[in-house]
Amino acid sequence: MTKSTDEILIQLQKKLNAFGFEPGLTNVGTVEQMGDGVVTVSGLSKVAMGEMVEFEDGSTGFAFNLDEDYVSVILLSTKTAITSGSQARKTGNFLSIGAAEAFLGRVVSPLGEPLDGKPGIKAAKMMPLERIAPGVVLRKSVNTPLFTGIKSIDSMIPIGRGQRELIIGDRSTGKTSIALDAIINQKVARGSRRKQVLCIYVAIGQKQGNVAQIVDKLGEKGALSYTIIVAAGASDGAALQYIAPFAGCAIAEYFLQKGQDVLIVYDDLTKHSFAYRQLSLVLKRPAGREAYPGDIFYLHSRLLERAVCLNEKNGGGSITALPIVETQAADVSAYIPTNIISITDGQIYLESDLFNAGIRPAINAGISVSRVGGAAQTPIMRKIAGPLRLDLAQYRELAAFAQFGSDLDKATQTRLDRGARITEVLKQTNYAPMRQAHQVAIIWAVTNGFLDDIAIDDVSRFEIEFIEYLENVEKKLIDKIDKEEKLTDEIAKDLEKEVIKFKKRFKI
Amino acid sequence: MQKKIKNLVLLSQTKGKLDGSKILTIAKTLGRKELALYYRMLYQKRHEEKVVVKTAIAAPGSLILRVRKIFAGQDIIFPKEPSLIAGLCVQFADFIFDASFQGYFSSIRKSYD
Repeated sequence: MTKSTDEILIQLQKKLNAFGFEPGLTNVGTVEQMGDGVVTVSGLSKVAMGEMVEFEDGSTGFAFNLDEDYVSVILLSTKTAITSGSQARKTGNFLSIGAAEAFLGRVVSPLGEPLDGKPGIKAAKMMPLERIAPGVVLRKSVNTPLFTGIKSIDSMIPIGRGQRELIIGDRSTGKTSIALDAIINQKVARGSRRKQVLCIYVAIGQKQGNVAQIVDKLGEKGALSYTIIVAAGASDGAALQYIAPFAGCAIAEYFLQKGQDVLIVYDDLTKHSFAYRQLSLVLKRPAGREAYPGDIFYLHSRLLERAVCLNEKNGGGSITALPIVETQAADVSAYIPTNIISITDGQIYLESDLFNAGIRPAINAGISVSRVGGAAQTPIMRKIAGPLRLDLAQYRELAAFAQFGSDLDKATQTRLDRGARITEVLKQTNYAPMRQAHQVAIIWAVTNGFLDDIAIDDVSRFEIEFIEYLENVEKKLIDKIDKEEKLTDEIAKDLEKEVIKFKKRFKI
Repeated sequence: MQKKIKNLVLLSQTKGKLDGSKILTIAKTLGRKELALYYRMLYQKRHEEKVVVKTAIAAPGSLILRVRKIFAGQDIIFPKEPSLIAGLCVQFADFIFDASFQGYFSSIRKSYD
């Protein structure tokens, strides 16, 4: 923030006129050694855990290890001129980040510094990075849907506002794409009465190029205006990568306190674990399983517990968390994945085999789960999606027999055909989230057998053209589906009528 | 090793102050690494024992008497530090009591950063 010279002079004059001398007592220490981003300081007997420490050259860090004679300080500045014997002083402040509405549309570091080349941002409020999660009394149960715009998720693995839903899978299975689709789908049309869900995307240990691509994509889809990107890249050092998700969460809590709904994506917590492990090993903390420190579970549990749905008395806002975890060779029983699975309220499991087979998003609906379930769905979607999971489960069971096509009885063949068409319908291109009414229409059509006589190769074209038809010709039905809470007989009849009418026009 | 050297530092004292002859005797028995750590701990201890009272001009007699009364029995030095402009700055153990103009102007400046 820059102030004009005149302003500064006026304020200085005021201060000098009201000169009141108050001597300060500061706790200081001496730098003993420095290396790997950690400074060992002797003295600082009154420093608290996580307290900011300032060095002579202006560099800052935070106290991370309090030993009997030494304090280990994690450096936040990358360029430092700290030498052995120089002084360090405690600041009395804890690690915090400035937050403001002006952060929306910006890319910032975990310290709140802009990374997008635009001017600095004036913070409206300083939010502490570490904070105790809201207690039980302040919360209410999750009952408002957070629409991702992805058919498989909104129908079978619904996410509610205030939920923590893990996205887990191997590399290049579409985890980030799902998160970005969820962000893009939060766009509220002008004039709509829907409450805008603000989004925060935390990039941890990612390539700068990837972050730039994400920023471009969100900008292209008009999602950047309600999104904040907190980035700690691969070259930023373990300290910044460690605090990045907490910084994102602190900004989310600023908006939560104003009664707003926030969606926060942590991409990804595997790299976050690596950064924390690196810091802990450098600090010579005892190493446990896979060389992770003993409190690796607590690291993620305290972060994810801050995702909350507050009751009306406490503002009614929510923070929905979508943590992402990368597995190696589909091993979900590894240390970090199992930790985070046990913390979150469900997981969306992505498989490389499905991805390579062209099923994208590559969600394995069989083992994916949302522990909030139907409570986070509208009644109409809940009714329509009911048979979907069962049909898919039956299809999977019978799929092994598909190679014996001609030897199957009619009922089995019907199930296989239905399952194949449902699988086709659930495919979706990325960055193209779908409105709930459209999802309801097409899922209703496929689960009621109206696509059974459409060739599998034509299903996706049918879907596109059917939705176009409904939008252009029968918009009233779409609006009715949006407004109605339940699947009424009238809506069902109208849908049936329109599907049959459309099928006559549909050219195979 | 740290605990051992810490105990040796305690043994190096006589009536709460570091004793040179004891230090030499102990130093002769230590290996290279232990000696480095022993030296570092002694330096710290010495630093803790000393009280440094910096003033912009030569410390007046009344101030010296007052400080000696407060820190009775400790080594006190009174170096001149013109950059303080006025006032004084007292450093003892890991605390700094800054009652100087320089400190006051630094705090005003920080409020604008």
